[in-house]
Amino acid sequence: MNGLMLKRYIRCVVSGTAILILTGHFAPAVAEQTRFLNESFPDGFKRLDSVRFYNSGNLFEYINGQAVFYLSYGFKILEHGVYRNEGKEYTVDVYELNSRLSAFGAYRQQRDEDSADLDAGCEGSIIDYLTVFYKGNYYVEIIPTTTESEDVETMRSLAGYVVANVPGESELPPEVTLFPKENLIPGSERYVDENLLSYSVMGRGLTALYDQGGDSELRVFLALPANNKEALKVYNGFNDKIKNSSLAKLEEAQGIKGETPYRGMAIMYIRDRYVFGCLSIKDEGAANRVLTGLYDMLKKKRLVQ
Amino acid sequence: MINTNRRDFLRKSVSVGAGIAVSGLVPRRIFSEESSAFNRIAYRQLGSTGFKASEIGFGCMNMGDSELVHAAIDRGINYIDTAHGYENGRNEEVVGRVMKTKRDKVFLTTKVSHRRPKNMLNMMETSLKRLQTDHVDLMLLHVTNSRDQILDNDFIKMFDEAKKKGICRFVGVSTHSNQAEVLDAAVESRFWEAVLVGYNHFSPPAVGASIEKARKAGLGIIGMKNLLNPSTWPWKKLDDIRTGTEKEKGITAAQALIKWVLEDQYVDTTIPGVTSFEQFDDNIAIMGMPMKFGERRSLIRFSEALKGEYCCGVAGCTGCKGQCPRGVEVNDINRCLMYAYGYGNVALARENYASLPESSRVDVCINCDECSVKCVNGLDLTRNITRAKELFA
Repeated sequence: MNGLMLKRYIRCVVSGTAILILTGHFAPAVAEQTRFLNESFPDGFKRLDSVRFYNSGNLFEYINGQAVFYLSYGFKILEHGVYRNEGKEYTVDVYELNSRLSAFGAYRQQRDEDSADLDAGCEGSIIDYLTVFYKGNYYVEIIPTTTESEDVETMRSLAGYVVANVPGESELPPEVTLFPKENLIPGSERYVDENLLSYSVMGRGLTALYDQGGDSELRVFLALPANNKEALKVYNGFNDKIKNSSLAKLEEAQGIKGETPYRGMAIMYIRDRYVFGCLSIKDEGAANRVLTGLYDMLKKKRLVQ
Repeated sequence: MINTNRRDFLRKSVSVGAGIAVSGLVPRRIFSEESSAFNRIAYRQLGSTGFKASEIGFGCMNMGDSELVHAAIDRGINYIDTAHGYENGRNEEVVGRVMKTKRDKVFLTTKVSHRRPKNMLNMMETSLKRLQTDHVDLMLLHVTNSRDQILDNDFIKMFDEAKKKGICRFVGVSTHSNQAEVLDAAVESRFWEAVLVGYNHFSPPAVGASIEKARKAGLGIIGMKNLLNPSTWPWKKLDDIRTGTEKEKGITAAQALIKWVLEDQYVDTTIPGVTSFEQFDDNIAIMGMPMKFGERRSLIRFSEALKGEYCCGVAGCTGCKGQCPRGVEVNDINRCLMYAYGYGNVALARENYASLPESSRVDVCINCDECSVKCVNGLDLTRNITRAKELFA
């Protein structure tokens, strides 16, 4: 390594890690002023102590490596409080993320599959040991601190008061509604803010599962790059992963199809700033029908020319 | 390698354990001849378990893609780490989808939190269902940080019962802080068989010494947090920083940090978190590769560069605590400066500074020309206090 490179290296590392070195071990800010977690709520909910705020520098101190999950969704700030009601205790964590899509993504990843639906915010779910919902850019968790506190009705009541304080839209993010409904497995839509399909080159985007008969589902993806130039990078990046490829076309959208190492046959199309496709294809015709439906939605919403 | 029948493995665990106990327990790298064409995979004995673990395992936390796990196992990674609480159980479900067909190819670890002691056995059974297996290889008591927790009879009884029930073959603890005390207590307990320990380039020497002691006592040592505090050190940044010249390419800083941990012969395996194929490829690429002189030098210089420039609180340094005769905690001031100079976020710096008790603010320093507090790493505290006065006072 020559001197200049070494200096650059050290400078980059130092600046990049300065955050780490100085923020790792410090306590969260304790505040009397709250954003959403009132000192008390009706029906006997009393907050214990002041709320605590965690930022990206000290979230790790609260939830350890799980912090990486929220940081991957553009985590901004967490408001944390503990409520007591007739001897039962609940922690309430309100995460502010960078977008409605991120709140949706965090919720869909964190909810328990066995949960019942909860009428709170955009979507919510509840089970005796966990209540989660999201609204606007906010993802909220309510967790009983002991097994004795596991009471669905009490949590439902608390969730109702918290959600009333949280701002933002109570509808699905519009991008999620682009997936055609036919054969869509309900609730299978997911969003990641990075590493779509586990490839860093893919960036952020959505996936959804479709029933195609048998035990393997068709996985449809919609990458959401920032502009046409980025879209081309995504397209070319994923193209590199596809073997034995040949050209494909869906109306005006150019595409490619071939084999992927762990996800069977894949088709991918690009149009303007959208890259979309599917994996684990059993029936190419059926896959293209789903993608045609997705493309039609993009056109209908005037997202592509 | 692993039998999935509970009765069989319980019987075999006893005989393997007895065999290892008399064999001297010398940890070493074992290179796989049968490893895939991609890279040479290196394996190490995992404590007294009798299992040869790939020296880089798979930390599944935050990973939501079962194909990544399939790919890892196909390429020879055989140590898989998850936890009951990760993504509220979804993480175990993702891993479980792979275990359905590949359970016999891996050493599977999960963890349960001690926050709900009465519910622990139920949690373990739930984990088995999610993981689609009838047992895990290692069950860890999650996030321990004190000798008392490690020696707590209730926990020991519960984990002993889990072993007897065949829920797990081995039991251990995970520790993110106070690591040396936890490791020493684990040895003292003569019960716990493995420790998942936060260990990295900036760990105090005492942690390394306790790791050696624990490994020599036969405990399996699994390293985590090799990249320091992952919440504040983004992978992307680490991946962008490479050692070596552009021509030589070198390795990323993340790879260098993992290599540093693997240089410790008393660490059996590590579990860097993987959420993309690219990270996974980077991990595979350095397995079994000794650290080169240039890489070591880069890390040393990196460390040296931090000393005297930055507060090393993350490594557990409390050298300045209580030194100021006027009661100012300089660590706190440094943190606030960090938000301004590190993040470039002055508002955040001021917000954090405002949350400090008045007795610990730089207003107290107004009559001091020179800071009397001495940083053990040579940080210029007079300069920092001057900066803080300019920014906050």
